[in-house]
Amino acid sequence: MTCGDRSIALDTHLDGELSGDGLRDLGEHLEQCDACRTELEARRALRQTLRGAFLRSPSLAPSEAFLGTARATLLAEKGSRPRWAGVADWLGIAAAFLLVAGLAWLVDGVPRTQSLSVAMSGISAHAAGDHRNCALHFALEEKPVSLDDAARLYEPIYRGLREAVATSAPIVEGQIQLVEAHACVFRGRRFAHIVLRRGGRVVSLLVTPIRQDGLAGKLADVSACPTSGDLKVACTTSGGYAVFVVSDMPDAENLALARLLAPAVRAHLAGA
Amino acid sequence: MSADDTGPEPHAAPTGFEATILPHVDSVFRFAMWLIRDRTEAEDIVQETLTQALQSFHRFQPGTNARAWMLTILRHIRSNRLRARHRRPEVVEADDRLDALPAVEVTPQQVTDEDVLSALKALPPGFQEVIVLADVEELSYKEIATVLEIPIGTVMSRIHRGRRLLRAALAEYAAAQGIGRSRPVRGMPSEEGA
Repeated sequence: MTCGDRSIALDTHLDGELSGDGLRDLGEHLEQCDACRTELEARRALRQTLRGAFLRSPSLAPSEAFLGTARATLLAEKGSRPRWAGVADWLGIAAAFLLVAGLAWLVDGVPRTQSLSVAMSGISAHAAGDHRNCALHFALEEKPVSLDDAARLYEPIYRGLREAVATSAPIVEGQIQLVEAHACVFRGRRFAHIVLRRGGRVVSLLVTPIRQDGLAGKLADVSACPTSGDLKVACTTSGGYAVFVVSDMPDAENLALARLLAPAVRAHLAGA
Repeated sequence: MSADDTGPEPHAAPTGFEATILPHVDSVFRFAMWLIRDRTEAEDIVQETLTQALQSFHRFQPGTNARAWMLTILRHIRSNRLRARHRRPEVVEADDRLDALPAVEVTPQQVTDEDVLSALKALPPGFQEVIVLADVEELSYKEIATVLEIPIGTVMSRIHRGRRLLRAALAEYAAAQGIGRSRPVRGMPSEEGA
């Protein structure tokens, strides 16, 4: 198979959609083909440039006037729907629109800490979904790959992450056991996934790049993130990565464990 | 096998709509502006999208991509409007620019945001849409297929072809401006064979 034969696979790989034999074949090829590695990086750079240009373009951005009108219309719509009745909902919708209107992005387009929970909610939901569909019962469409393979193909920082987590206080002190480490994809988002066990409970530590989400390094503290169902999610960011700890432990316990695991992960992400 | 939903039941929490849908208004508006190129109409169509999203929020599957769901609604509304005006949705046209691939490669540092967006605008509409959904909105192929109502294989081929066209358009710009670096071979290395 030639480089030309792999041209579509490069795009598929760039989009995180390549798996199985195709992923293995491309990975092996990339190891020995400078031209294809250069080509992949060129495509990745163009993709990032395009995304940045699109998101920065003032001509594509909604005006505050429109957002205000949209809010008023929605509120009127809400008024005709008993399900949305109530002052709390009214305030909730208004607050959310204010966020969208840009209050969360006042400083150089960077979200304030108190708004990060909203900004992180989508990624947090993916982290919870990955925990549920990979650690608790496997239902992912794509087979996980080793952290070393993922480091070679996607994120070099994944190399050594397992070893770094193994040096964290809760593991060294025997409060929690490291069960497995791999990289997996849930709903198109790729995670480094460290599966841990505390007593009878499964805990996931997940790391995912957020450079393109505009959230890089903006949540210095470990905080409780929006949760879904019975799962608790603690999150933080370190450089261009978001780190999540997901479990069905009580919120405070999950948060405390995340805070104990965070220093080792941060040190790895900062040093790699 | 499909992944389980991760979220609560629809309307289990009174703030479900705000938390799930409203953070994506900016993205949805930008996509609408890109498609329509008319601010008044884009505002109108996004407003209708939000109203429909609110009305049918009980049908949204928690744990799935809310942005993709909203973009699907938006695109349905737009298709209906185009049909009402007796206009056919844009078709993807063949483009022979791929046969004359860039002799000059341009790096992101050499072009401005406007250059990149102008190059994107120069592509046939069907390619623009798929590129924006993949590269800007970062939807999965399956989500793009749902939004655009086309097979996943078509999504893949359009993404590949669209990106090549985009590079060709940027290379044309680079050549016109006298910037960029010459390629050692004609066409992209990966198209040349190993």
